[in-house]
Amino acid sequence: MSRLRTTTEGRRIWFVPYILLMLFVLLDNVQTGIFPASRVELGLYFVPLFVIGLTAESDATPIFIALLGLINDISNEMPLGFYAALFVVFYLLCASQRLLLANTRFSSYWLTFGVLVTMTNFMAYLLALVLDEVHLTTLPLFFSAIACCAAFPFIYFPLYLLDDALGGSERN
Amino acid sequence: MAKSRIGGSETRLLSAPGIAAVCLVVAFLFLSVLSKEDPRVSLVRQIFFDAVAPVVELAGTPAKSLANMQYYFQDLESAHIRNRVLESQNIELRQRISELTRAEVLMQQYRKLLDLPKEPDLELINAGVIADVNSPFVHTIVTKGGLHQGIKPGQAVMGPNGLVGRVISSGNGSARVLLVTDFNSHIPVVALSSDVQAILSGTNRPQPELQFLPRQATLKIGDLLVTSGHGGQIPMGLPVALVTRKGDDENGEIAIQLLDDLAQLNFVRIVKSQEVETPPAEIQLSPMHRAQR
Repeated sequence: MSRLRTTTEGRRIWFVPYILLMLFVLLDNVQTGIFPASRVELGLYFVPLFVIGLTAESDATPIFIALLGLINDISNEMPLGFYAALFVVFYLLCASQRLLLANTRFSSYWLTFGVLVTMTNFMAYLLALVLDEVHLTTLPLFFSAIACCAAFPFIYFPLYLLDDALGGSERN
Repeated sequence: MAKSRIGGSETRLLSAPGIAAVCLVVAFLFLSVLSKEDPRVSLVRQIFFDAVAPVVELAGTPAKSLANMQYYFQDLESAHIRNRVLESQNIELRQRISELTRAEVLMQQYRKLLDLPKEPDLELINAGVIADVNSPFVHTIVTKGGLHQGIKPGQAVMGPNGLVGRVISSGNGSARVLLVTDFNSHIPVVALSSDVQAILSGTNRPQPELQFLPRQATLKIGDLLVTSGHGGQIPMGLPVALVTRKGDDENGEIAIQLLDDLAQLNFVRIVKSQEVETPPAEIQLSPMHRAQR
């Protein structure tokens, strides 16, 4: 299921999830004025992060992810390091699932993603409890996790299809 | 990355999980050392928003157009009912004009008698909302316009009906506004009819709450909360919220209903407040002088 690595011609399309991740981080705060988008933090950046966690092999990936986490901290008015830590933890959690998810069905990917996002949101909650500067409300956080899981197929499938169209080879 | 050449062959010093662990340590170091309110962090945020403001504004255009279409059709649907409501409001407001004119004349006479200085007129700057940083953790918005337009930190920000927040930082092309619902927002207010003073504090939920209410204070349902002007940064008399009850129960707990829906803000008005001069530093008296006093 998870390809997104190389094409048959050897041209890598690994950068697509990275670009998506950057876009989701930068455009997270775009003012939509559409209810409920303006009240729920969708956290769509977790989807490309999930793909990166499952496929990336470069040692520089965690640094890139931590930097994007810092940018997310800046744009989301969070204490510096909050999202950087969460992004890296989420990446590590995803990377640990590589073997388990090899050649499994889409539903397994979706379920794993749901579990990992919930775990990361719970970690965000715990981190917010420790930090004096962050005060969070649990209900929007819960809705954010659900909204993010619901949005997973809409982002993951185009990524998968794009990889398929470019003749991606099955992951080992 | 994280490799070194020893005797012509490459040796990896750290694997990806190792580098991730280092990044994690650095992130926690940032969390423990740098405060959210640190001026350097605030400056970085402002520079970031100044840089991305045009892109974010452009990216938000299709969504805003969609939202406007949605409102247009909603308006069409309820146009007839709203027209009737507006007509009745118009009649009420016409009646109030005569009352207000009389009150204005009386106020001028009282001011003359008491020799009070004239309150300066409010100067407003209109600004569009370009980013909406609403998450379970923070409630802020980013507006277009910055220092060049006269927008400065501390200035009050009004929505269509009342106060929605205050400017926390201002750059060349954008300004960050802390909404009244944010946990870090504390606005001194006074209830108009009962004259009760309190602090309106954000809770990171859609509605803020009143803190430091006097014990014997009784708030009336429907009472309008306005800014008290204490602290000197936000002018007095700006409408903020209404006192209501939670749910439909008549004996229910008191709740605060903001005058504007903060999730639907497209434009705001920034109040150019008068500069408040810092009082001269108090002369430090010696312990002996203090004892004499």
